[in-house]
Amino acid sequence: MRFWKKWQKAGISADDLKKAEMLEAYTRWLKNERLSRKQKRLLKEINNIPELQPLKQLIDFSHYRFEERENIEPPLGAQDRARERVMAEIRSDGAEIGVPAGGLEPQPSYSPQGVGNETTEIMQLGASGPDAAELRRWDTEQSTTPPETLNRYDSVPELSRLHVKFEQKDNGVYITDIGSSNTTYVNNERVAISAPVREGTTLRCGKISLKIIDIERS
Amino acid sequence: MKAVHLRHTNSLALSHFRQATLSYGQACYVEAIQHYLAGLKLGAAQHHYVYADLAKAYEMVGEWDTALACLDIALRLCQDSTTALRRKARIIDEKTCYDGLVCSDDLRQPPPQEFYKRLNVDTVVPSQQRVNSKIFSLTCPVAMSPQTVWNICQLIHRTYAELGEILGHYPRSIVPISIRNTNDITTSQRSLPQWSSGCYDGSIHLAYCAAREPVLGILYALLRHEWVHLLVYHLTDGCCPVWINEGLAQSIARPMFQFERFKLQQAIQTRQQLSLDALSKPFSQLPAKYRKLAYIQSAAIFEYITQQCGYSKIRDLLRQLGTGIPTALAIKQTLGLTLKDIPFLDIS
Repeated sequence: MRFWKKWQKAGISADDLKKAEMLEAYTRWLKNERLSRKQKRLLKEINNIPELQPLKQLIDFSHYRFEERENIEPPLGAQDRARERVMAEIRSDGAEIGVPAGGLEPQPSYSPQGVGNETTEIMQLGASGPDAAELRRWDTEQSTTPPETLNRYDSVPELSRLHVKFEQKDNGVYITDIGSSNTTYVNNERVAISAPVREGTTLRCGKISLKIIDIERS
Repeated sequence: MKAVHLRHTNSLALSHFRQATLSYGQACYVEAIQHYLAGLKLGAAQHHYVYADLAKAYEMVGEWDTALACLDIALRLCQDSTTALRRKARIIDEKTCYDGLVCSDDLRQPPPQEFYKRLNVDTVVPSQQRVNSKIFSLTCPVAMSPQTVWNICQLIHRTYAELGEILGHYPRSIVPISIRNTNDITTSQRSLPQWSSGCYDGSIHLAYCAAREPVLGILYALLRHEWVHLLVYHLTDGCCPVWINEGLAQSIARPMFQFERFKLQQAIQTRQQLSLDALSKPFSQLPAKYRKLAYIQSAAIFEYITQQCGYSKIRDLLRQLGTGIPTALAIKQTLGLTLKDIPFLDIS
């Protein structure tokens, strides 16, 4: 009773509450949970309310996109009920084996292999092992422009082991190239020895581009 | 003497690797793994490409963890191998997707005692076992354990219930489903093309390649894909354009992998996405290098349509297509979209 008063105080009408209960019943039904009699009755009514359809679709979407599956603890007895349902179907023999709806046999529809990438190569070996050129070809596979994430990996070796250092001098921050073999640029200008940097400055060390977003002065 | 011995063993190892490449090309992945391992035992451990290719063979049989371990060795031998890095990213993606698809306590429970009595060896083909149900008639290799068969039965039931709810249709007659391990049969005995692992032609045929039990996640995604074909066939009376049929099946079967999104992105950037005409042909007739893209592009189209319009409108679309009206008109009437409005659909 107190619970009901709380809802009334919050300005939620009985109609809205009923709709919420309908959606809850629908969600429980989707998750294969046990429903009360009231929930079963509400479930029957849900299709008669047009404004609930978009919300129902939203519940469908979140359920069928497998986003909520992992951490759901099945309610007590749900597993046994599901097992019993599968077993009941296996127990009873069906009437006929057959399919086509329109009398014509369907054209075969194939599904691609679920794993691997069909177009990627594996090393084709000759009489001797592969030479450097063959290895290089294999190591780029079919992709000429590797995905962005891999570009990042590719660029890592272009960064020298000791490349630059940042220094705070005279109320400013300076970048110094410490003799790297892959050069450093500040706003597209090559750094000879040292150059000042501030917020918004673009740096390029080897193949890696960086932008200074914020400088926190200690 | 030592040099002669080394040359001898290395050429033997090399012949194993060549055989592994051949086996892999014929989709005999278990055999390929055996040859790679035999070659590695003979001493060629310094070659990163062998480990990267061995990982790819393990990937094809769904042994993700072993595949990742092989890639780690490959990366230790050659830390900037883009191939190994790319494969690693892809395998992690696949593992996450397929493990997530079937994560359920139901599949860890042993089958009820009564189930063993219902599991019969096929009278016609003794290498097959059979389970009959009100919904399906399942045939699978006799070597498959009762636990796996029971799990597959539960997954079929789940597919029946979920996809029935999504597309608003349940098959009225028993659906024949056959599952085969391609490792047990010769290449000439295969009924499916090498690039495919499933087919619906009135019955559902699924194939997997494994030394022991199949990976349930992969099998479940294939089953969902083919089940959608079955429902679409019933709902549209066989009058459904290929890109709608395949796109819907692929988008419902499993989420799209990251590397598939990159492939699509690359195709768009290089203006190599497939035209509507190409997507309207059976994908089995497309050249191999465009086939995968056709599936990805169609799936991306339906990912968009599902997000924009929801499954209820897709159900309406399928019913409209069943009346035989042109596709563009059916899409306009049910989804409120013209073909031009649909991204990834190149109508030029």
